[in-house]
Amino acid sequence: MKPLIYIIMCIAAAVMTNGCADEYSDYYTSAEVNIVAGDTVSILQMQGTCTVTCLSNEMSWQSSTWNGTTASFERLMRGPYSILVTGTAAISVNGGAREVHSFRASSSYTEFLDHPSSVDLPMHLLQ
Amino acid sequence: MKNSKLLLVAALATFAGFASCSDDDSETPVNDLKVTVTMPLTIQDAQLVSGTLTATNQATSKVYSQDTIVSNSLTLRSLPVGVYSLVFEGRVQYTIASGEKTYASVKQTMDNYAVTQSATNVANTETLALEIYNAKEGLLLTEIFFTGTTTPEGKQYSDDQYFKVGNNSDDTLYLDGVAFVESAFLTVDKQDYTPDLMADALSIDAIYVFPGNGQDYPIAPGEEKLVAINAIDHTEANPNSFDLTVADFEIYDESSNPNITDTDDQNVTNMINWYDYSNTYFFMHNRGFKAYALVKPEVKTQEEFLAGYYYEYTYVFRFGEYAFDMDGDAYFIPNTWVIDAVNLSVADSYEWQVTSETLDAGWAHCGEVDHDQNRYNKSVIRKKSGNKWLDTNNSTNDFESDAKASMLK
Amino acid sequence: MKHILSVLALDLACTMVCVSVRAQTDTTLARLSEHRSLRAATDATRRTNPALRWEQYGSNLLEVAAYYDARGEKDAFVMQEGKSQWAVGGKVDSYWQLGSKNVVWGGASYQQGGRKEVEWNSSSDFRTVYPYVLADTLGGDMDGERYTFYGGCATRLGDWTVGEELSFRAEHEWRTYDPRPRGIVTDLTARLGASCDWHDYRWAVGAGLHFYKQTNDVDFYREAGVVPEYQMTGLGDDYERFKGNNTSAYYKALGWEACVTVMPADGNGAWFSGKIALTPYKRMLTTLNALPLSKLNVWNYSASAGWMAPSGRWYAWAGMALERRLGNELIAGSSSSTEYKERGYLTMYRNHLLRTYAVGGWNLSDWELRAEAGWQDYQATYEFPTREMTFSKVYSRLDVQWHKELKERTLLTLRGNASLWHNVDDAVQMPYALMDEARAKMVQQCVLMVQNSYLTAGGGLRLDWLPRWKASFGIFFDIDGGYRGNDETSGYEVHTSAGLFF
Repeated sequence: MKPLIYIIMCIAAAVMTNGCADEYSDYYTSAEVNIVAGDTVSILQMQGTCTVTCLSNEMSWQSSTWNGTTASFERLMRGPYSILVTGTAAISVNGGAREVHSFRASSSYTEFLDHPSSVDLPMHLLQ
Repeated sequence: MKNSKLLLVAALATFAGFASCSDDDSETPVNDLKVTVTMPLTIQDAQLVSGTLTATNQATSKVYSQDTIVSNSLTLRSLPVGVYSLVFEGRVQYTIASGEKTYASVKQTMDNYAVTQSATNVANTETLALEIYNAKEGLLLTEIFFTGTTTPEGKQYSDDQYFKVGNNSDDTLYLDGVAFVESAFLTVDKQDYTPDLMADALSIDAIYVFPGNGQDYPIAPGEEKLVAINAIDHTEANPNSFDLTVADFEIYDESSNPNITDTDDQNVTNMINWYDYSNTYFFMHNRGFKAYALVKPEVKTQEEFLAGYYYEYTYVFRFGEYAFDMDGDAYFIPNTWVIDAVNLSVADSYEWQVTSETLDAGWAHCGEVDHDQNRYNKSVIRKKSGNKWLDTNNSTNDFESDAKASMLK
Repeated sequence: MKHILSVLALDLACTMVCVSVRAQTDTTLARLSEHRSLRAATDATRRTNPALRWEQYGSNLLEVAAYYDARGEKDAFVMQEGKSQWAVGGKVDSYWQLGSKNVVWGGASYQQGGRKEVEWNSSSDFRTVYPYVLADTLGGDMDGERYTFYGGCATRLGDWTVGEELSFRAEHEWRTYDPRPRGIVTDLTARLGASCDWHDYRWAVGAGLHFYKQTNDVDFYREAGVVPEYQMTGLGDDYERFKGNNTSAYYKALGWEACVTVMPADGNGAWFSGKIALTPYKRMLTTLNALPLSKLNVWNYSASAGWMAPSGRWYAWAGMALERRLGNELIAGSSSSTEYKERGYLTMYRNHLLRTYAVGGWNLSDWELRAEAGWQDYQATYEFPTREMTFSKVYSRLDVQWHKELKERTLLTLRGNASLWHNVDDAVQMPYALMDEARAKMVQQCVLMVQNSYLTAGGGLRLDWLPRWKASFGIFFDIDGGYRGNDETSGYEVHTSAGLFF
């Protein structure tokens, strides 16, 4: 009787501890995309859309809400992303007058794995 | 009795280990969604005149829509909690520099928007940033046919490639000195090249220039010019192909291999070869892995270009635990010279843009996979918006992919 | 007088010969009855521990047979396995006692066959490796061949019994027109077991290892090109980043199992059996430097407890069987330099299939009855985009077997069975809005099939015949047929075999 109980308890313990082993449930994270301009450029206002596309499943998320020069995503699936930002920005060059330009920023590969994640993308003005 | 106890203990001990995750049954509460559209900073006095917001529930495919606009906002009531694809389409009125009011059609999307429940009955809110692009006044690539056709036996035939150039302005323009280029890098092969010029220049492996002295080759507003890789009647070799002797221009190369030579239709004007990678003759990548562009070189002669716009690059090729230093060379076109650029790729192989995102933020395609047997006879054709071609510098939006080649219609 | 004595002597001699032959005949038919009984088939399910096979049968049997199996369906119940299937082959099976201490068993088989109209699956062993299969929208017919062999030995050492067993399967599947999948499977299982008699009970523990490998390639020979091949990830989803041209992959697994059984030493009375097994199947993309795209952990748990009456006159037990699948998908790094680093994993796919059941059997002279009733519960989820499919079924099944000795050397066995699987609850959540038409159609068809009720019915006949000149050897013929149907489709199964037994 005793040996049986010991054996069964060992197997049950193995099941209980291993029943959920090798599971990776850290699915989501939050992310910020920061637009950076050159040293002589100040970004005064931004309007536009930041699109992040998960390379694993080609699902996209968009954000058009800017906190200064940062677009935030509260809940993204962790993984590799490509990013495209298109919009318009009011800038000042060397402290000069306000100018409005269309701009883009992109990255073909960025990892959103950490909690939270963030990336800085250089702004490119459209001609 | 002993046996019964034995069984009971054994069964309980064993079943105890069988953890199973139970999912809570979820109800479907609802919430409102208020979407506010914002206007581009580059336009004045912008006002949303009309528009419709649609939300498609990804799980049920049910569509909810709203077209009542209040202060540039639209509100969808009582949306079941879930994940939606949002699309806004509308018209914006704004003031242009001359003081006149004009209209623009706008569209913006948001994928995977989660409508969530609120404990305090507060509606979900979201912002959609509208983009307005004035139709580019200039020359555009309006069609690129790179896949070739198929013979009656089912074999591929790639000699009938062509592309078209269109005039999207209201004025007559001239092709003289404008060049057609092909990217050196592949959209399906991403490497960390050093130096990385992409933010400032387009690396190319072929450049063909329209001849002329300045005003020899006009192109009227809305007109298209056809440029053939081989301006011959291809129906003679392949009954499923078409006659390209009607082309306006031809790409002709002097081959260094007498056994593999290009054909030259004397009745069709040749483009001027400033450079191409091939020792025989040029043809476009027939699976669509490169980018093509129209550029206006700011140098006048081939010699100036070849001398001043050449560079060498390096990158590392890795295979398992091995790493190999690789090198290559190419010519580059400053982004300021680029009139129009189009990235091509295929969904299963796409890795990166080979142009700056300011030139082209997307890519067009024929086929879904590398060597897709369904890509033949298809072309990428630029869409029209009214009587103008669409040009947002985003080929994903600007082009109809997998379109039937215009020469086959 | 002399004549009469001669006739008597001759008559006596014939009688003695006949008596001795009859005795052996009775024994051989009895062996067949034992090995072919419903009770033996049910009892075998609690004897996966090789040590417990020592007393599985009281008699020896060796069979050599040629067989033909076929299955056909109007619309496939499981489209990934094809609408129809056939196989023709030969096999040998044996169970033999060597002296009083050793029992050996073994067998081998070879078959050739094929499956028709396989859809959305370019991999082999679908039920083993699903959902991580390669798939395309075209599909087609498959040819195949299979080799198997197995062997084991159990040895009695006082109160202890030690057993060991090895089983091996090699399978090759291919298609001779585009798209051309080719799968080569090697599947090896090794088991060790030991039991000890203590206080009228036999206490047995066993363990095993499972080695599995499958190479999976799809080629296109036509110059015109290819169609996309999808790396399926569950419930109709696929790994978008690596779809299309990655048509060469392999699976590799090293699994383990452990079991515990407690049963009366004389075979009659209360018993308990439990087993746990884990096999993690890794899927690697060959063309991307053996990129480990996914890892599928397949857990199997089973437990049963019951009562076996003396001489097997009746038996009853209850049990459960649970299979859990956890699918971990790779987070692949940058594709620079054609090398994708492993940046982590996410458990995107989960499913469980739970069956709880009660079984009862009765032996009534020439008749055997076996009744089973139970509950089946299935749930599969995919994390994002969210997909879920569930169903629950109640089922009942009745098996009947009747055997009769016709004359002295012929045994006729008739079998019948029927079952009803009634779907009591189901749910599905799929992002149909994100799917293309072909994908949505496939998902809808699969959901329709698994969430449907169905019934089965079947019957069979076996004829065993002993020749007069050799009472321990005979010829048999066996045919079995079945029907399965639901509101959407129906199908049949046929199994025929003929051969020799010793």
